[in-house]
Amino acid sequence: METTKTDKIIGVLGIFFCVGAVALLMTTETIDITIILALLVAGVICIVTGFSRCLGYRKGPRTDERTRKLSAFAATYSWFITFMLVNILFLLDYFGRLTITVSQTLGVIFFIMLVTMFGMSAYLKQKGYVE
Amino acid sequence: MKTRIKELRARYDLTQEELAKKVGVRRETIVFLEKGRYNPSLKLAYDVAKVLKSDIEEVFIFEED
Repeated sequence: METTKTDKIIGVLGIFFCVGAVALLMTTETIDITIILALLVAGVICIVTGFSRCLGYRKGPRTDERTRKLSAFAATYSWFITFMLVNILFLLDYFGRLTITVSQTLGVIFFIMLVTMFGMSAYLKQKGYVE
Repeated sequence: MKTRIKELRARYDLTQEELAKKVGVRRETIVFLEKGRYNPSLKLAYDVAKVLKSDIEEVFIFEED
């Protein structure tokens, strides 16, 4: 199975991330090192993902009808869980049980979105199907 | 749902990997199809049956509840 256009785009994006991180490190003195590290990690992940098929680590198509269906269900469950969490946060704030900043709220929401998406995706892929 | 994919695959000396490649799906999908744990779309069922030189009804045996 040859490398698809998507694989190439992801690989090239990874190279851009890595080059961008190094360029930022060399040109900017005040930048937070966390940003550089995040860019580098994202770049390496993209490069490995994009070129994994070239290196013979991945065979077959990236997705098929079963995996697309599983991903759609995982996204739906993730959205629902996040929606419930936002409601809970609102209620806690409304009744004065919890005081958190907007940044903290966004952080919690992003974290829950990621964890639930990956978690549901892994669970459904292990299960194999959804009806 | 029961399937005869494994039997027909053996008849035509095809591995799961080869069948997956011919119908354009991941090997895991063929595994789940063989176990009867995934209901394929009509298109996938048709493609699998075509590769196995059989009719859909011969490959996939649907049981009424």
